[in-house]
Amino acid sequence: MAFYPSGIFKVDYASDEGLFPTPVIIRSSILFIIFLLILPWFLSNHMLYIMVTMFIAVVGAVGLNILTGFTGQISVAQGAFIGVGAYTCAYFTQNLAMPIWISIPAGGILTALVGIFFGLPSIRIKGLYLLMATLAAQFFLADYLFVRWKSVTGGVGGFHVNRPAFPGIPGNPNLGIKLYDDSHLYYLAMVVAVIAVFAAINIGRSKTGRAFKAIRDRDIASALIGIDVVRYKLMSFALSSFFAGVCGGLLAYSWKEISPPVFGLDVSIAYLAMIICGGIGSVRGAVLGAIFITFLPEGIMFIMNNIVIDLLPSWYNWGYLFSGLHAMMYGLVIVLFLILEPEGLNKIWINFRNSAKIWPFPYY
Amino acid sequence: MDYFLFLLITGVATGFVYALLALGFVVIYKATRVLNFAQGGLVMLGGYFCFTTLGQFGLHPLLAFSLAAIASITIAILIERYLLKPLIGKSLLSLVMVTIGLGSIIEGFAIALYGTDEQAMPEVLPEFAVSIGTVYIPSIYVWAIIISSILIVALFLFFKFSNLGIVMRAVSNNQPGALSMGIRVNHIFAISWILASLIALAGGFILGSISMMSPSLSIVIYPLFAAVIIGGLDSIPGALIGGLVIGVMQLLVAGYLGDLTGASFKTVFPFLILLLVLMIKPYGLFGTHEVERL
Repeated sequence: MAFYPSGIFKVDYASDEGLFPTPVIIRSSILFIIFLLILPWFLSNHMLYIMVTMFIAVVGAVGLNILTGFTGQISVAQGAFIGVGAYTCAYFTQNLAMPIWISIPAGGILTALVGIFFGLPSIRIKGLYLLMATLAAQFFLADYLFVRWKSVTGGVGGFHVNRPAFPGIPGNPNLGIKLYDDSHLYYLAMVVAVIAVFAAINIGRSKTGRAFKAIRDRDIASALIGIDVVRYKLMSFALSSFFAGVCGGLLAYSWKEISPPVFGLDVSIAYLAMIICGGIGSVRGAVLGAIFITFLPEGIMFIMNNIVIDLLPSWYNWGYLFSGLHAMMYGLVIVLFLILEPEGLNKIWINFRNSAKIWPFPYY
Repeated sequence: MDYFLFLLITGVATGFVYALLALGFVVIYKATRVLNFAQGGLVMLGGYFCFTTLGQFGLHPLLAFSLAAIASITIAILIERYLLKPLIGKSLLSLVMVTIGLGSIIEGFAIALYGTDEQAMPEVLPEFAVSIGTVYIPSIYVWAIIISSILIVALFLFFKFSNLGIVMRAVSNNQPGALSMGIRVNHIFAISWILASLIALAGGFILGSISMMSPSLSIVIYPLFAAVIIGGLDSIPGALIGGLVIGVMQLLVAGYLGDLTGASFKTVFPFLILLLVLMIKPYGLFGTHEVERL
């Protein structure tokens, strides 16, 4: 590992804002992507499915981070927005026979429009009142529209999606590489997740991103220095919902069967938990949080089913205790992170990296 | 007409319970500027405390309610001390998310202890038949109106005349001012959580008696949001009016439009009203319009 004893010298703003400040980061990014590319060969089917879910969660969490982390507009409608993307993508695939490269962006764009519509209250209200407006959006979409608009969504019975092939052409989406296997979907989800992460980082360091952060820190002051607050707030809703829609489209392909309850309020809370565990306002935090929250239930179930269940006396029905633990898991994680490490996994990672850099000599 | 009358009276009863529970929100919000998303969980937990002391322990109602009240107060103090106090001065998102997390912890706690099955609240309130014209009203709805209105009036008197109530109003009005007058603001925070949890206990008992006890009782919180937003988050009369309006309209809409719009419209409908009110009057009907300074 390269070593920078006197820090990194930057002589202009471009290098200060650079995506890759040091050669080490370029090299380790490339190595990491190669690692992700060869990983599917070593994973079981179940782990492969979880990895796909994780990449999809990364897309959704990075998107929510744009709205809540960068712009500071708290949204509890992420679950419903993901649902809009999933249903659009499913409809385009099943009913219009569109290939994947049309249906996923279509899901993103339609969700962005829906996001702008439900972001309109943000022109007049903010904070808790805006949270209420997004809560209204969540309930209206997930508990009403998805359930009642049966001709498009299939109602509570659910909607079945067949995975189309990768390039495909409109009208005949089954030409090309078949995505029927999770290992093929893994590459699609991975590529989308990597693009989403780099897009989010670039949004964060562009003029738009700086405007978002200015609105988060003080909206009136940012209006005074000439930022069009309304435009940037709506743009933030649109961008965030676009990510959510893409995330939903991938979810529809991953699950192959979607129904309204899987886009409920608990999904929105899980995504908020991701960005809180990761560290609000940082893309790396959102990625770490998405990984953490995806693997948390798996880890807990593994420990419970393999270790704890043998230690417990068998005369008592522990099922309730387990489902209770499952229900409180996200809440517990959110509360613990907020109180013990408000800056999240991102801060833990930075602390670890800083101490690892100077490792054998802590007072160097 | 009979059907309308029945819906109206049950709606008014539900509305009174909503108004009472909405007061629980407002009490906490006025003192601490925290919107308590765990209020539904507290209501459900309060209902289960009553269920345990009345049904499982089989105690005399007075003793049972006092025990349940002690349990609720303990929970409220623990929440205030260990969850909210470390977050004083933190961002709005932290405050919101800690109560959302708390709500799901309470729900998981209830599932772990009581399971997900519905259980009937023991009947301790005397039964009597009330009929208006040919409409028969189950006595629990009458009890709901009586208990809620007594508690609401008691809260009004408490805030208007009692020393503690005046101190709490002072804290919500001007926190630094109250601090400099020697009021222990952090005690007031704890007391407002205790008040809210006692309100939630009463509400949980009533709601558990009207329907059944189950961990999903905590979803009662969602129409309450609409109620407090319509009234304005920091207005006590607003909470009453909002609660009544939402309760009556929810039952009327479910009763008349239920076939047309499906059962789920009952939960969505308060939010449509909420959106409408937010568009027209962003701070609700009676809320304080916040003036921002740079």
